[in-house]
Order: sequence, then C-alpha cells, then structure tokens
Amino acid sequence: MKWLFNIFRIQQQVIFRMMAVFLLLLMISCTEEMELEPAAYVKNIIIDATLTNENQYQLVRLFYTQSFTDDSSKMVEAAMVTVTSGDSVVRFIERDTFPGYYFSEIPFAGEPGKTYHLLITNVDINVDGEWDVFEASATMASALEMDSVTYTYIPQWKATSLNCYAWDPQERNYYNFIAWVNGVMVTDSLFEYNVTNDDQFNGNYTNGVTCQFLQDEKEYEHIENGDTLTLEIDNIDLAYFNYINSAQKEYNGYNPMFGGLPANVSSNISNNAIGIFRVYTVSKKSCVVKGLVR
Amino acid sequence: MIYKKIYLLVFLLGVVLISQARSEKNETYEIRGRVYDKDTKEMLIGATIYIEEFRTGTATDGYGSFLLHLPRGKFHLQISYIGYKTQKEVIEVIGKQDVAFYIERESQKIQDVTITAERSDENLKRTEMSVEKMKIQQIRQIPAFMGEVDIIKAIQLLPGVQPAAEGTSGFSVRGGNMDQNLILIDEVPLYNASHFMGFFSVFNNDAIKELELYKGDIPVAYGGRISSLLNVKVKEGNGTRWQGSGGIGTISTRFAMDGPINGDTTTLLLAGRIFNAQLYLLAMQTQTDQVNGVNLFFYDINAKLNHRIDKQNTLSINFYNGWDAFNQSVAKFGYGNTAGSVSWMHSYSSDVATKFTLLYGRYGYRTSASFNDASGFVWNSNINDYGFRLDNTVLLDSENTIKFGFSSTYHRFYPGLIEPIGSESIFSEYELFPNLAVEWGIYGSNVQQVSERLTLKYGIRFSIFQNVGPGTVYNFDTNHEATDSVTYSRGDVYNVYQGLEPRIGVIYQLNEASSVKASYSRTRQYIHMASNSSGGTPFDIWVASNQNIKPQIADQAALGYFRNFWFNQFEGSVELYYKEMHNTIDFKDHAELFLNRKIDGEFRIGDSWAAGAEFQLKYNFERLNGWVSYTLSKSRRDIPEVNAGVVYNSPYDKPNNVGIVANYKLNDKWSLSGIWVFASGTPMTVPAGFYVQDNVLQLYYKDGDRNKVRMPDYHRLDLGLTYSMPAKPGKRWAQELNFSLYNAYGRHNAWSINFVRDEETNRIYAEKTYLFSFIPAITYNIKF
Repeated sequence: MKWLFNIFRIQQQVIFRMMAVFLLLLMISCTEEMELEPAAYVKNIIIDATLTNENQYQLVRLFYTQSFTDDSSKMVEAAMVTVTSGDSVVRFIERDTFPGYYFSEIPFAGEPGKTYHLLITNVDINVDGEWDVFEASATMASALEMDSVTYTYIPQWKATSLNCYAWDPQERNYYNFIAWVNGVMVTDSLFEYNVTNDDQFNGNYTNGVTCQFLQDEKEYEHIENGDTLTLEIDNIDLAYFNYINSAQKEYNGYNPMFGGLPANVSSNISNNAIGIFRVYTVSKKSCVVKGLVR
Repeated sequence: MIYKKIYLLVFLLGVVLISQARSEKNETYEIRGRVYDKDTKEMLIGATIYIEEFRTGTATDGYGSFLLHLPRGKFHLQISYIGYKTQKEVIEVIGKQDVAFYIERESQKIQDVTITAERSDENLKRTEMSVEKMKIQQIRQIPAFMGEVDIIKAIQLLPGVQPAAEGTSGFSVRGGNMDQNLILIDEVPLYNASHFMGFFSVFNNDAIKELELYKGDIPVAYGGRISSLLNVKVKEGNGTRWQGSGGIGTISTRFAMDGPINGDTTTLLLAGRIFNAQLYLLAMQTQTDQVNGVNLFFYDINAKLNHRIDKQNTLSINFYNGWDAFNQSVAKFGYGNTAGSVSWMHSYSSDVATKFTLLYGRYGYRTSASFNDASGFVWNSNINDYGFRLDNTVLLDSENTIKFGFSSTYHRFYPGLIEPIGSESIFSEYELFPNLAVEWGIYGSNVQQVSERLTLKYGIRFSIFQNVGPGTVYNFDTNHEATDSVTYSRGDVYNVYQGLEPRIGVIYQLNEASSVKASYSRTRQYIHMASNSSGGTPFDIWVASNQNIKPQIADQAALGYFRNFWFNQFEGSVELYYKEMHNTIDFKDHAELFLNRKIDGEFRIGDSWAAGAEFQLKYNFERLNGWVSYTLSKSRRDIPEVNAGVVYNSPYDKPNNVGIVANYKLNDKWSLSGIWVFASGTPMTVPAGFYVQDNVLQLYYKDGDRNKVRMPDYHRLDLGLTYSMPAKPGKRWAQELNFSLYNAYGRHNAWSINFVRDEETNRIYAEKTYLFSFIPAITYNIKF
C-alpha cells in the first residue's frame, strides 16, 4: 500500500483500507474464474511514443489490439513515423530486430517549451487499401530543479520512502514519480507510477514530502546499506497525466463501489487511436543508504 | 419580494381550491375523533375507522385525528390498527360530536405478527397508487442481513425497487438513480442514509415507527427528487409509562426508551445504537496484522420530544445524529448525518389543521492523514440544509380534502476545504467553491370523492430554484473545456429555474373487491449527486443545478388494477408505468469528480426512460403472511456524448425481478420467515480486445458497447427463525432470540466481473468477485 501525497489517492486508499478491513471482519469477498464471452474482436492501433529531455534514441512503439482467441502479438510494421518541431524533422526508423519499434534516426534531447508533432502514416488498420493517418502534439514542460532527496525506512510498513526537497514552480504542473535502485528503474510498471498535480501545493516548497516507496517484499526494492536510491521526477503534461490516471483506473478494475464504468484509456492521438504521445522532462536526484537497521 | 409573492400565491391557491371544491352538503354532522393506544395513551396515526353501514371509512391523519360526516342515526364502527385488536364501537349521531377510541394491543410480544397495516380493503380505496407502506413490526419479521433489521433492506424487496448493489443500502426505484430518491426522517432530508460504506442504513429499528415509499405519484407536498419519496417516521413516546426495548446482535447493540415526562402531555423517546466492531477487531488481530491499530465504529442517536400544549396545539422536536469513524495510525476518516426538526401542529377547528416545521439537516465527511511532517492535511466536506415548511389540511366536507402549503430550503454545499496540518506541511489551504441555493415549493391539492365509486385527486406544485452568491461558475465551450469563470457576490441571485409540477390521479372502484387507478405526475430535481459509483460511497458529491447543469425532470404515468380475494386475505395488484426523464445526468469517461473546481465539465446530459409492469400478491392468514411479486421492466439512457451516442442500458436495468416473502407463525413461541429474490444480471461492458502497455494488461472497448451484456442472474434465499418469550403475567420483560441465515444456499452472486491475466500462463479470463457466501447471525432482543 502506498500513502503518497496525492490527496485524492490518500482518500481512495483510506476507503480501500476501510473496505478491506470490513470485508476482512466479515471473512467474506472472494474471487473465482467464470465463463463470460468477450465482445467480437475489434482491431485498432496502439501508439506508444516517448520523447524526453534526455539525449537518447527516442522511441515510438506501434502495435494492434489483440484478440482473446488469438493472443499472438501484432506489431505494426513498415509505418512512416516522424516528429517535427518548428522546421526540424526527425524520422523514426523501425529496427529490423524489433518489429513495431521505431527509434529516432539520431539520438536527440527534447527541449522544454518546445511543441512536438508526431505523424504516423503508411498504416492500414482495416486493410481497405487506404492509409490511416495518426497525429499528436505535445509541449515539453520545464524541468524541476530538485535540491535533494532523502530516504526514510518505515519499520511498521517494511518499506522505504523517498522524500523530495524542491520548489514547485508557480505554473500548473503535473508530476510522475519513479524510483531507481542502483541504476535500475524499480517502479517501471503502470501500477507503480505515482502522479499528482500541484493544485494543493502550487508554488510551495516540497519540504521532504514522500514521492515513492520501496517495499521490502519486492526483490529489487529490498534496500541495503550502500545502495544508491534515485528519485526521478517527470514533469509531464495534462494529456500524459490523464493517460496514467485513466490507465490506472482501468488496471484496477471495476466494482459497484469504485471506478465508474469501463472505458478506453485516455489518448491524445487523433483518428480514434489508442495510446499516448508522452513528452516530458526528467529530473533525478540520488542519495546513498547508510546506517540502515531493520 | 419573493416571500410576499409566495405568501400571496399560497393564500390564493387555498382560496381557489376551497371555493372550487365546496359543494352542496347533505344534512350531516361532523364526528371528530382520535384513536389511542389503550395502555400507553399514545395517539395512533394511520388507524382506520370503518363504517359498516356505508362500507367506507377513513383513517387518522398525521395529527392522530379523523373526521367523519354522518347523518343522524346509529352506526357500527370498526377501529383497527396494525398490531392491535380490531375494536367494534357503536355511535349514535344526533349532532356534531367529539369521540375518542382506545384500542388494545394484540399481544405483549416483541414482534406483532399482523402484516396488514390498514383496513382490509384499504388498498382498493386508497387515493394513492405506486405507494408502499410498512410498519416496523412488519419489517422485523423479514430475515435481516447479518441480523441487523434494516428498513432499506426491506424496501429493496418490494416490486420496482432494486438494491444499487449487493448488500448496500442505496436503492434504485423504477430504473432511476440513487440520488433521485428523497429520503426523509421526520421531514428532514438525508443525503447519505448509510453506515459502513453503505452496508447498513442509518435507521435504528427500535426508534422507527413506519415508512412510506412512493415509487411514483409523489404527494404534491413534496418535491426535489424525480424518482421516489421514502418518508420515515420516528416513534412518538408513549404517555402512560416508561418502556424500553433493545438488543444485541452480530452488528450492533441498541436500545430505545420512551415515556411521559410531564403527565401524559409530554413524551420523550431516546434511542441509540453502536457498532460492535471491537469484538471483530480483537478476534481478527490473532489472524492478521492488517487490523492492528485500527479503530472502527459507528453510532446513531435518536431523540423525539412531543408536547401537547392543549387540545389544539402540539409541539414535536426530533433529533438524529450518526457518525462512522475509521481511524488508524496515519489516516482518519469519518462521515455522518445530523437531522433536526421542530414541528408545531395547530387545529383551528375540527376541519382545519396546520403544521409548521423548521428543519435542519447536515451531511459531512472528514479525512485527515499525516505520513510525515510534510504530508499532513485535513479535508472537510459537508452539505447543510436549513428550511421550513407550512402544511395545511382542510377537511372541507366528506367529499373534499384540501391540502396546501409551501416550503423553502437553503442548501449550502461545501464540497471541500483542505487545510495543512502543522507548519511543515507542503499543502496550502485549498477550497472548492461552495454552492449555495434556495429551493422553494408551493403546492395545493384536493382529493375529491365525486361519487361512491369515483375519486379524483388533483394538485399542482410550483417550484423555484435560485443559485445564490457568493459563488464562482465556469463557462465551458462545446468540448466541455472551461473558457472563463464568473464570480458572484454574496446575496446575488445569479440563476433561476422554475416550473410547474402537476400531479393527477383517479380511482374508480369497480366493485367491492376491485378498483382501477391511474396517475400522472411531473417532478423536478434541482440538486444532483456526482458519483462514479453505482453503489454509492460516503465521498459522493452533491452539486446544485446552475447555468451548466439543468434540472432533471420526470414525467411518469401509471395505471393500476387492484383486486382482493377471499375475504381480503389476498390483495392482488398490477401496476404499469412509463417514466420519461429529461436532463438525465451521466459523466464522461474517467470523470474526475473529486477536488475538481471545474466539475460541471465532467457532466454529460441527455434523456432516459423507464417502463415496467409490477405484479404483487399479498397474503395474510392467521399464521402465514407475506407477498409474492414479479416485475418486468426496462430502463434506457440516451446521452449523446456517452457511448458514442448509442442508447444504452441504465446501470439499474434488471428486466426480471421476483420477490417472495413468507412469515409463518408455528406457535406462540416459534416463528419462521424466509425470502427469496431473483433479479436479472446487472448490465456490464465487455472488452473487444486487449493490449499490454507499461507492463500491464489493458482492455479495449468498442464504441457503443456500454452495458450491452449482463452478469449472471442474481438469486438468494434468506431464512429466519424467532423464539419469543412473551412477558409473564404481571411481568414486563419480553425477550426473543432471532436466528438468521443470509444467502442460505451460498450462491456466489457476482458483485463485479473483471477480465484479468493469469501471471504464470498469461491466459486472460473473466474473474468474478462475490461478497457473501452464507452468513449466519443471531440477535437477542428485549422489551420491557
């Protein structure tokens, strides 16, 4: 369980906790597999494009939805992918060894304040002989300047919190927090992301607020003295923030009490495509574990 | 200015109705009277007085009195009331006179076993339709979920009423949303009538006297919700001696005491209930560390003071307070209701009575958390209602009963204020804009007995809703993006909605055993719940209509046939209804309803409709009573910006419903009860594909597929067994033990269904979550 500084999430956690205790008290609530036919398969494209301020080969991944009866992976091959900003155009080339993976032809770093346009062509989803075109735009936010990062071991939770010291800029910001241990990203799955907007602390000093947790029970998060812990703060845009929030809701599933009704994950790509063009700045700060006693 | 207009309108409406309804009278005399409990001298509301010679009668009103117009002569009356022996009286009418009847309880057991709350053929002649009335004695007979007698669980068994989700006390009436039900406790609205995440209602059965549920044909005196009115009445104290009741059950410990405090003119009722959580927590601490440090409770308090000032004036003060708390080391959460009302009832004459009521209602929740010095915050949210209402009844003659009055409520919705805890907290104070509004209602109605067989009921309500400053309202473009906002000053009336709500009914008695009824009603709803949850949570936010959110409007027409058989021991009914709802509220996909100042932009508005046929057969023998019901219904939504514009099933659409309730008295000590319910599966959306992104499985849905398939059908059997120990002669203590078994055959009814992936094989399959297998419970009750 994560208790982070997204107020809404804290409140959700309180409800979940209350519900869990109640069900526990009654010794009820179980799950079991059942027969239920999904709807007839519908093919659509998923576009997963990432552009950050780190100088690297930027990546666009293209693939199709899969059928429940034929769950083989279906990558989108031979598409034309470009990212433009002003007059500059960067082509993305599909790697022969990774079908559906398109890397920028040169390494480059996105620049805060610039707007980037993603264009994908040469895709024919319905095989009707007409190319489908997909576009997206996003503006890179400025990087957050962190003063320092600390950690706190919390024995009763058997977890380590990563705490951040930084000034939140005055403009509206959206953040995603990621934890690294010894250079390995350990919160790399959607359900481990932690996002917040700064509605409730805009322009304030973060003052050591907890941004991520490392849990002892997970092999890669079980820290020891001498480990280097890194907190990555991604300054993201509203579209990526909405994508993470909606994707986490979908991942958590639905019941009559929480979540509303199922729906496709929020997308910022045209032509009814699923996916996200995520453009963000990455800031990192590290600390070393010393004197840890469990 | 508006006050003057309303007073003038009330006055004019009263004059018009009276003048229209007054007709030539025969030479009759007024017989005014009251019906009392023989022992306690408590006034009995809803007791029936049947005149054998005319095969007709009346019932005592909300003030405990009745009025008859009879010609000179000798008449045989039958006075009856649930749980009491029917008493025969003879009166000789020689002129205008006052009478009082004292009737005797059937037994001194805790549970009364009569299910008929009214005169045996009252259902045929009652001027309302689509209404269900239940006494608490009736509800206590039904097997209770976890042994906790709950009036809302009982009404969920009635035709046309659905639980919002298994185990929850939220309910849907005739396909409507949960927020379309007006729930009143002694006239005060409750915004969240639940405890413990909705699993139990706020009503302590020791404090409750009776309830009325209007599934349509809502009395014109009430407005503000478009689906139903649940009117819950708290017991008055008795005027003879102090008496008490209480019990210990699987869920709660409760008590109630009532009696006189100043002769028999002033009575007091006090009742309380507390959740037995600590027992569970202690038991579970040995099993798991998840409950360590957890403190959990809920409580209810009811109090009611009645004071008879003189023959013409009565004062009544009612109070309710309840709270749920969930506390642990780093986070605390609590929510609850407070309701208070003061009523003054005055009889100007034998024909004219008035009731003036002041109301206060509050619902609020509070969350606080502090994981370290930097992350401490407290979040408060509440809804406050301040109101009054004036209700007048004029018994014009034996053919016409006129009611008129008005009401006003000042709503103050305060969605949230977040404040930092301590100087180290990073949080700033953050406030969601309060919503202030005033809701007015003015009404008039007449029930007119046109002939021996034909009765008409007609009335009209005029409602006004005003948004009042201070307030900030965002403007939105066609894509629901906020463009700018306008801030209004204190006292500014910056938006007004108003409209007429006609209500019409006709009752035609075909013969002594059958009648047909028809009704039409228009209702308007100006405040709405913004919730992503179909079952309801304590965090659900209420918002007022404004420039962006129009009032919901419903038009409902119903036709019913009522027939009694076998000396009224069987009561059969068929009701057909059609309901059209406009400005129905739904939300965009993944709507953000918490901490959102631009929440209006999350709403999606459209139309909806519901239709159905409700069949019910009640039976009432000496030892066996209950009912069988079947409902066939449909409920659809047409919201242009939801589900790609395709019409879809409402979340509460369950076409087939069966309810069977049976109570059997084995002997003086043992009685058995059972219910069986069946409902078509809840509508759900299934995926048309899947993909993996950010290392997790995601599902893909086809546009237009919302709520297109159904979960498996729901059915359940509950059983109850009661052992009664009546008070011994000369003693006051009566006891009983109640055993109940919820979901007796342990069916795994689906609460939710999700498609998940097996981590080892990567196979994707449908996984059902079910809440309850069978749950036994035991409750000990006592009365003295």
